[in-house]
Amino acid sequence: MYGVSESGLTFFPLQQISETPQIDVRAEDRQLLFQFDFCNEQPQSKTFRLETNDGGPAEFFLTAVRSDGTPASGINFEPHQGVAPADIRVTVSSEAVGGLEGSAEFQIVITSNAVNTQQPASIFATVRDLDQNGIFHEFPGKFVDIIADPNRDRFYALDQERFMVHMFDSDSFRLLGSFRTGNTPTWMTLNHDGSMLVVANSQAETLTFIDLNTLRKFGEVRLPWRSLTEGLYPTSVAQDNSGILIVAQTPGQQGRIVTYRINEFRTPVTLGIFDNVIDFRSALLALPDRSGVLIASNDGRTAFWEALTRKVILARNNDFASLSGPVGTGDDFFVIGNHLLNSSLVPQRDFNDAQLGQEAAGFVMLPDGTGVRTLSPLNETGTGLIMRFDPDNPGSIISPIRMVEPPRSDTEVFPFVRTLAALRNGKLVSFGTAGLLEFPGNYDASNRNPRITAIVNSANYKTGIASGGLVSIFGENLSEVDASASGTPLPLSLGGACVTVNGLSLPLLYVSDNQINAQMSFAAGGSVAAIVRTNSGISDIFLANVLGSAPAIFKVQGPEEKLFAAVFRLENNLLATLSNPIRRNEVAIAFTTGLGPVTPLLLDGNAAPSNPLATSLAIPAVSVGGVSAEVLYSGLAPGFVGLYQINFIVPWGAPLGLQVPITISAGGVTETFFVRIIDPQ
Amino acid sequence: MTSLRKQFTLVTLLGLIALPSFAQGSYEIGVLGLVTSYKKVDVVGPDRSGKVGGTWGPAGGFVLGQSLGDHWGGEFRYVFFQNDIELQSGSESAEFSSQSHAVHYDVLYYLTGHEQTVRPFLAAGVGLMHYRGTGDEQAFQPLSDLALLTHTTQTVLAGDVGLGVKIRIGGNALVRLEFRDYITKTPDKIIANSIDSEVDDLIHHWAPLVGISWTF
Repeated sequence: MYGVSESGLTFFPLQQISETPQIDVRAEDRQLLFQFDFCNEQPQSKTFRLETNDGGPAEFFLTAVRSDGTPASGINFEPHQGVAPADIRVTVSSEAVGGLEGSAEFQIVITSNAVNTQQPASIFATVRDLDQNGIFHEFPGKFVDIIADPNRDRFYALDQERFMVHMFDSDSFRLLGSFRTGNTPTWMTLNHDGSMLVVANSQAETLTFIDLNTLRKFGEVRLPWRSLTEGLYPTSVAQDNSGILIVAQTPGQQGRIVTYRINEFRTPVTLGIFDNVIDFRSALLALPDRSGVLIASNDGRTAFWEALTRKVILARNNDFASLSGPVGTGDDFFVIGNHLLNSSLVPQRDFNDAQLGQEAAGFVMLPDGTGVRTLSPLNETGTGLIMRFDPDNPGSIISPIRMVEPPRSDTEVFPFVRTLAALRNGKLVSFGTAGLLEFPGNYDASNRNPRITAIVNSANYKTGIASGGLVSIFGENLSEVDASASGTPLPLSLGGACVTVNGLSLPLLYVSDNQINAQMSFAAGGSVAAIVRTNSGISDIFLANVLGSAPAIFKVQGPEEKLFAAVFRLENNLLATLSNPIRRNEVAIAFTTGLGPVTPLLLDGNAAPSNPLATSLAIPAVSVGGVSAEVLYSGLAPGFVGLYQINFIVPWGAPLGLQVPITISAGGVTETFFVRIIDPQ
Repeated sequence: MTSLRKQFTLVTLLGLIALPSFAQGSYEIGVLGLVTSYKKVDVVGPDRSGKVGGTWGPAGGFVLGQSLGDHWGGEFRYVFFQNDIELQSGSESAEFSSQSHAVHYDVLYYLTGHEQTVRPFLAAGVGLMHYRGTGDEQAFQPLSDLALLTHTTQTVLAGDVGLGVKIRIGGNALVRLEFRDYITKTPDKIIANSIDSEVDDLIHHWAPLVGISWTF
């Protein structure tokens, strides 16, 4: 390919492009999140991959810079230079955000001999203080709209980067599925009966319909061209009682209102007394009763479409120089950015967000008639705010609480966003720095200091706990949400809660309001002071005694909620029960916790290795019906945290019977359970 | 169990040794088979009760017989039974594959003389039954509060009674039609009592059989 320039011709050898080195961060590694808080201040590491094309290896030199281009401190790459493809380990310390609370975004800069322009790759670092509320769920994407399903425990988030709608479970915030949309989706709506999700694709001339009952993409419907030169590109969509209303962009950079009813698109010539010409950067927002639709335009105009007459019955042109940001509606008012409008679209007041060092980020109404607003920080390292909104007293600032991460949305393509949704189960969800933020409905409730009432081992719930073992902490207000660790190493804070014993943070498996499951630190011993911290406060000290060994067998729940000791037969790898009895002279495996320190040493929260095995220093004594059994292995179960296994041979002399006692003793603690033993076949 | 295996072997040897000592009449050798089942017995647990027994399955074996006079005869028999064990209570059930092997010696009383073409007979005998639970054990077997169906073996003493008829069909060939009831102690290692449950003590093992044999 040749290009003409003032000084001559530029020659592009297209055939050689594939033979020329190109380098990029692997697509799934382009957003790396590091979270620090009061329980988790140590530097953290993650690995990403530098990929190359078929053009051969590419040299690289890595640096991290802030958004203003200045070099970032507290971020190290290992190796920071070399030849790709390569796996790079990046370590981030809390210094990256200046040692203060807040969030910061950094760009990974690749200096290379590769010829391509690299895709942006970012490092997000957040430092959370005790009063910062919300649970962060990491999920990469460029979110631009969110809708809660009023009929199901689900919500839908629109990802403009990947052209996807993601469907999440409202309770667990687990991804349930994703659906491909058209190019550059900008806005969503639910249809009249909530059975269909409709997505406006601003660069595809289509609406995407997703059937929420069958969880299948119903299809793409193309907006008809008005002429061969005038396509319609939908930028916003809303459902009222009469049909679907669409704002569509024409090639002339104008917008038109398009209606969709009974499989037919119509582009009315006039909208009542107004011409059908609006700013294509207009958001549509239906009233809760779907009797009409707010039209908020980036050029500052507002209008109201009435479903009954199917006309614009109100329009105001001179109230604002421009409009953008979050939109929301109550029964008789509208919120656009930081502006509050009454039902006649007359501006009532502006929220004083700038005085708080913030700007409007999200708004949603709750079933009780009140609302919630979120605010973004004006500077890079600030934190967002979540606060109540009272329509009867709109100027008051109610319960402003700092968010664990700033709410975030991208307005690059479309100036309006919905970043906040109220879920059917009472929770709130917002877009965060690199994922989703979860808030309990009572996130601002007072007097919710955590309180510990007991610390026991997680196997038999008795007070014998040992270093390295799994423990359960019972109490009140231990976490504002239920959350489970998603992998190893286990996190030191989970669901906004963390636990320390003598200042050591415990790896967490599960947190809920009244129970936390954690691994006792291998470094803990003797009398320890345990403290639980949450967004709502700090518990009083709870004293517990950590033993060197305190074996406790786990229980497995069977039919009718009966509990069985977690003993398995090696012969068939099934739980030993009355109907799967253990034979004399065969190997049985008991799963316990509380066998104490292991060798080789293992870091807290890490899964036990399989090679070499992590053997317990204390070998427990096992007896079957009073007859001593040979222990083949005693140590951590490979792949698990805090779970030990004891492999032993059932002795020939063991008594037969339906309920033969087996005892495991170590460190002066004895655990007894019962199994059925029969003769070999 | 070891002693019962020895008894099993002993019965077999005794049966074989007995043949020449009573070799005053003609001998008979044949095969037989058809179907088998065993009567379901009661099982009573702390909270409910049920039935346990065998499903219908194939049976087959052989017989070595001799005449002990005009109306008397003796037979050494081996019969294999394929019966799955079925445990039922209400609408719940559990099944478990099993087999059994019977080795026994019977005395036969013929109602007609040895020259008759049709020879109805009555039979009774003793021997051993070797039960084998062959199913795959499960961690959670249904109705395990009543009985535990176990993958193991057990040999028990067996008695049997029966009746039948032998019909000479020409030359030395006989057709046998018979019905046997094998009575054994319930194999309580294979159909084990659960905690606080009880299974009836005796099992009746039914076997309608058809056979063909030759006399010499």
